[in-house]
Amino acid sequence: MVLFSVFAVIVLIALILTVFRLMQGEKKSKQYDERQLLVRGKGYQCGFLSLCICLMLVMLAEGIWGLDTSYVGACVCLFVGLTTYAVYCVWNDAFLAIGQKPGYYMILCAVIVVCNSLGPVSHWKEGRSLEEMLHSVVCMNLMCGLCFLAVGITIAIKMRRDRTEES
Amino acid sequence: MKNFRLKEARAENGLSQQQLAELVGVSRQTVNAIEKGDYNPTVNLCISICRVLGLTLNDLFWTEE
Repeated sequence: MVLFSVFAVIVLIALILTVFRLMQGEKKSKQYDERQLLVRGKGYQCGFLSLCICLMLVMLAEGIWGLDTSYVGACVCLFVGLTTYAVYCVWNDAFLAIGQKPGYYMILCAVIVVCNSLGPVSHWKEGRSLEEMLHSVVCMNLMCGLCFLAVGITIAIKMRRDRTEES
Repeated sequence: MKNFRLKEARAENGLSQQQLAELVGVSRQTVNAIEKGDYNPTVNLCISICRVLGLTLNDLFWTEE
Protein backbone atom coordinates (compact mmCIF):
# COMPACT_ATOMS: atom_id res chain seq x y z
CA MET A 1 0.00 0.00 0.00
CA VAL A 2 2.84 2.37 0.94
CA LEU A 3 4.59 1.50 -2.31
CA PHE A 4 1.48 2.42 -4.26
CA SER A 5 1.17 5.73 -2.40
CA VAL A 6 4.78 6.63 -3.19
CA PHE A 7 4.22 5.62 -6.77
CA ALA A 8 1.05 7.71 -6.95
CA VAL A 9 2.94 10.78 -5.68
CA ILE A 10 5.71 10.22 -8.26
CA VAL A 11 3.15 9.89 -11.03
CA LEU A 12 1.38 13.05 -9.85
CA ILE A 13 4.65 15.03 -9.85
CA ALA A 14 5.51 13.65 -13.31
CA LEU A 15 2.07 14.67 -14.57
CA ILE A 16 2.37 18.20 -13.18
CA LEU A 17 5.84 18.57 -14.74
CA THR A 18 4.54 17.25 -18.06
CA VAL A 19 1.60 19.67 -18.10
CA PHE A 20 3.95 22.53 -17.16
CA ARG A 21 6.36 21.59 -19.94
CA LEU A 22 3.57 21.21 -22.46
CA MET A 23 2.21 24.64 -21.53
CA GLN A 24 5.65 26.19 -21.91
CA GLY A 25 6.07 24.52 -25.28
CA GLU A 26 2.68 25.83 -26.33
CA LYS A 27 3.73 29.35 -25.46
CA LYS A 28 6.93 28.99 -27.48
CA SER A 29 5.74 27.77 -30.84
CA LYS A 30 2.92 25.29 -30.83
CA GLN A 31 1.69 25.76 -34.30
CA TYR A 32 0.17 23.53 -36.93
CA ASP A 33 0.37 24.18 -40.64
CA GLU A 34 -2.65 24.30 -42.95
CA ARG A 35 -2.48 20.61 -43.95
CA GLN A 36 -2.22 19.52 -40.32
CA LEU A 37 -5.24 21.61 -39.35
CA LEU A 38 -7.28 19.95 -42.11
CA VAL A 39 -6.19 16.50 -41.01
CA ARG A 40 -7.02 17.28 -37.38
CA GLY A 41 -10.51 18.33 -38.45
CA LYS A 42 -10.99 15.01 -40.24
CA GLY A 43 -9.58 13.29 -37.19
CA TYR A 44 -12.28 14.90 -35.00
CA GLN A 45 -14.88 13.59 -37.44
CA CYS A 46 -13.47 10.06 -37.36
CA GLY A 47 -13.19 10.10 -33.58
CA PHE A 48 -16.75 11.33 -33.14
CA LEU A 49 -18.09 8.81 -35.64
CA SER A 50 -16.32 5.89 -33.98
CA LEU A 51 -17.60 7.09 -30.59
CA CYS A 52 -21.17 7.10 -31.93
CA ILE A 53 -20.82 3.66 -33.54
CA CYS A 54 -19.31 2.27 -30.35
CA LEU A 55 -22.12 3.73 -28.24
CA MET A 56 -24.66 2.22 -30.60
CA LEU A 57 -23.02 -1.21 -30.31
CA VAL A 58 -22.95 -0.96 -26.53
CA MET A 59 -26.63 -0.04 -26.45
CA LEU A 60 -27.40 -2.97 -28.77
CA ALA A 61 -25.39 -5.29 -26.56
CA GLU A 62 -27.29 -4.11 -23.51
CA GLY A 63 -30.72 -3.99 -25.13
CA ILE A 64 -30.73 -7.06 -27.34
CA TRP A 65 -28.31 -9.50 -25.72
CA GLY A 66 -28.85 -8.23 -22.19
CA LEU A 67 -25.15 -7.77 -21.42
CA ASP A 68 -24.33 -5.75 -18.32
CA THR A 69 -21.62 -3.41 -19.61
CA SER A 70 -21.98 -0.71 -16.88
CA TYR A 71 -18.47 0.75 -16.49
CA VAL A 72 -16.87 -1.05 -19.41
CA GLY A 73 -19.30 0.16 -22.06
CA ALA A 74 -18.78 3.84 -21.29
CA CYS A 75 -14.99 3.44 -20.94
CA VAL A 76 -14.61 1.54 -24.18
CA CYS A 77 -16.64 4.10 -26.12
CA LEU A 78 -14.67 7.03 -24.73
CA PHE A 79 -11.30 5.50 -25.32
CA VAL A 80 -12.17 4.17 -28.77
CA GLY A 81 -13.12 7.71 -29.82
CA LEU A 82 -9.99 9.22 -28.32
CA THR A 83 -7.70 6.55 -29.70
CA THR A 84 -9.19 6.85 -33.17
CA TYR A 85 -8.61 10.60 -33.16
CA ALA A 86 -5.05 10.35 -31.84
CA VAL A 87 -4.01 7.49 -34.11
CA TYR A 88 -5.55 9.19 -37.17
CA CYS A 89 -3.63 12.39 -36.42
CA VAL A 90 -0.35 10.58 -35.74
CA TRP A 91 -0.69 8.50 -38.89
CA ASN A 92 -1.29 11.61 -41.01
CA ASP A 93 1.50 13.62 -39.36
CA ALA A 94 -0.83 16.06 -37.65
CA PHE A 95 -0.39 15.05 -34.01
CA LEU A 96 2.85 16.89 -33.35
CA ALA A 97 3.09 20.61 -34.10
CA ILE A 98 5.80 22.01 -36.37
CA GLY A 99 9.24 21.38 -34.92
CA GLN A 100 8.07 19.08 -32.10
CA LYS A 101 10.11 15.93 -31.58
CA PRO A 102 8.31 12.58 -31.28
CA GLY A 103 10.86 11.14 -28.83
CA TYR A 104 9.37 13.02 -25.86
CA TYR A 105 5.88 11.70 -26.64
CA MET A 106 7.23 8.17 -26.99
CA ILE A 107 8.66 8.35 -23.47
CA LEU A 108 5.44 9.89 -22.16
CA CYS A 109 3.38 7.10 -23.74
CA ALA A 110 5.69 4.44 -22.29
CA VAL A 111 5.43 5.94 -18.78
CA ILE A 112 1.63 6.16 -18.98
CA VAL A 113 1.34 2.58 -20.26
CA VAL A 114 3.53 1.29 -17.41
CA CYS A 115 1.63 3.31 -14.77
CA ASN A 116 -1.74 2.15 -16.03
CA SER A 117 -0.73 -1.49 -16.31
CA LEU A 118 0.09 -1.68 -12.59
CA GLY A 119 -3.56 -1.65 -11.52
CA PRO A 120 -4.74 -4.48 -13.80
CA VAL A 121 -1.60 -6.53 -13.06
CA SER A 122 -2.05 -6.29 -9.27
CA HIS A 123 -5.73 -7.10 -9.75
CA TRP A 124 -4.80 -10.17 -11.73
CA LYS A 125 -2.14 -11.18 -9.19
CA GLU A 126 -4.72 -11.04 -6.41
CA GLY A 127 -6.54 -13.73 -8.31
CA ARG A 128 -9.63 -11.75 -9.24
CA SER A 129 -11.49 -12.61 -12.40
CA LEU A 130 -11.41 -10.62 -15.60
CA GLU A 131 -15.12 -9.90 -15.31
CA GLU A 132 -14.65 -8.48 -11.83
CA MET A 133 -11.81 -6.30 -13.07
CA LEU A 134 -13.83 -4.99 -15.97
CA HIS A 135 -16.63 -3.98 -13.64
CA SER A 136 -14.33 -2.01 -11.34
CA VAL A 137 -12.50 1.27 -11.78
CA VAL A 138 -9.40 -0.67 -12.86
CA CYS A 139 -10.89 -1.01 -16.33
CA MET A 140 -10.24 2.73 -16.75
CA ASN A 141 -6.52 2.03 -16.26
CA LEU A 142 -6.69 -0.81 -18.72
CA MET A 143 -8.39 1.30 -21.39
CA CYS A 144 -6.06 4.25 -20.78
CA GLY A 145 -3.03 1.97 -21.04
CA LEU A 146 -4.31 0.41 -24.26
CA CYS A 147 -5.06 3.86 -25.71
CA PHE A 148 -1.54 5.14 -25.05
CA LEU A 149 -0.05 1.86 -26.21
CA ALA A 150 -1.80 2.25 -29.55
CA VAL A 151 -0.66 5.88 -29.84
CA GLY A 152 2.91 4.98 -28.85
CA ILE A 153 3.12 2.15 -31.37
CA THR A 154 1.76 4.41 -34.12
CA ILE A 155 4.31 7.13 -33.27
CA ALA A 156 7.10 4.52 -33.38
CA ILE A 157 5.99 3.21 -36.79
CA LYS A 158 5.72 6.75 -38.14
CA MET A 159 9.17 7.66 -36.81
CA ARG A 160 10.61 4.68 -38.63
CA ARG A 161 8.79 5.51 -41.85
CA ASP A 162 9.85 9.16 -41.63
CA ARG A 163 13.50 8.19 -41.34
CA THR A 164 13.39 6.06 -44.48
CA GLU A 165 11.38 8.74 -46.30
CA GLU A 166 13.89 11.45 -45.41
CA SER A 167 16.89 9.38 -46.41
CA MET B 1 -0.52 14.52 -59.65
CA LYS B 2 3.11 14.61 -58.56
CA ASN B 3 4.83 17.98 -58.54
CA PHE B 4 8.21 17.16 -60.08
CA ARG B 5 8.94 20.84 -60.75
CA LEU B 6 8.88 21.65 -57.05
CA LYS B 7 11.17 18.72 -56.32
CA GLU B 8 13.58 19.80 -59.06
CA ALA B 9 13.56 23.44 -57.95
CA ARG B 10 14.22 22.42 -54.36
CA ALA B 11 17.11 20.19 -55.44
CA GLU B 12 18.54 22.96 -57.64
CA ASN B 13 18.54 25.27 -54.63
CA GLY B 14 20.33 22.60 -52.63
CA LEU B 15 17.54 22.32 -50.07
CA SER B 16 16.24 19.24 -48.32
CA GLN B 17 12.53 18.84 -47.61
CA GLN B 18 13.19 19.71 -43.97
CA GLN B 19 15.10 22.89 -44.87
CA LEU B 20 12.43 24.06 -47.29
CA ALA B 21 9.75 23.28 -44.71
CA GLU B 22 11.55 25.36 -42.07
CA LEU B 23 11.97 28.28 -44.47
CA VAL B 24 8.30 28.20 -45.44
CA GLY B 25 7.00 27.49 -41.93
CA VAL B 26 5.35 24.14 -42.44
CA SER B 27 6.16 20.56 -41.47
CA ARG B 28 8.46 18.39 -43.60
CA GLN B 29 5.58 15.99 -44.21
CA THR B 30 3.56 18.81 -45.78
CA VAL B 31 6.34 19.56 -48.28
CA ASN B 32 6.55 15.83 -49.00
CA ALA B 33 2.77 15.64 -49.50
CA ILE B 34 2.85 18.57 -51.96
CA GLU B 35 5.67 16.97 -53.95
CA LYS B 36 3.85 13.64 -54.05
CA GLY B 37 0.62 15.37 -55.09
CA ASP B 38 -1.23 14.18 -51.99
CA TYR B 39 -2.03 17.70 -50.86
CA ASN B 40 -3.03 20.85 -52.75
CA PRO B 41 -1.54 23.85 -50.93
CA THR B 42 -3.35 27.14 -50.49
CA VAL B 43 -2.31 30.14 -52.58
CA ASN B 44 -0.56 31.67 -49.56
CA LEU B 45 1.62 28.60 -49.11
CA CYS B 46 2.33 28.44 -52.86
CA ILE B 47 3.49 32.06 -52.77
CA SER B 48 5.72 31.39 -49.76
CA ILE B 49 7.33 28.42 -51.53
CA CYS B 50 7.85 30.45 -54.70
CA ARG B 51 9.47 33.30 -52.75
CA VAL B 52 11.88 30.92 -51.02
CA LEU B 53 12.82 29.19 -54.28
CA GLY B 54 12.94 32.42 -56.29
CA LEU B 55 10.40 31.28 -58.85
CA THR B 56 6.89 32.28 -59.93
CA LEU B 57 3.59 30.50 -59.35
CA ASN B 58 3.52 29.65 -63.07
CA ASP B 59 6.92 28.01 -62.86
CA LEU B 60 6.00 25.75 -60.01
CA PHE B 61 2.27 25.19 -59.89
CA TRP B 62 0.69 25.93 -63.26
CA THR B 63 -0.34 22.82 -65.17
CA GLU B 64 -1.30 22.74 -68.83
CA GLU B 65 -4.57 20.98 -69.70
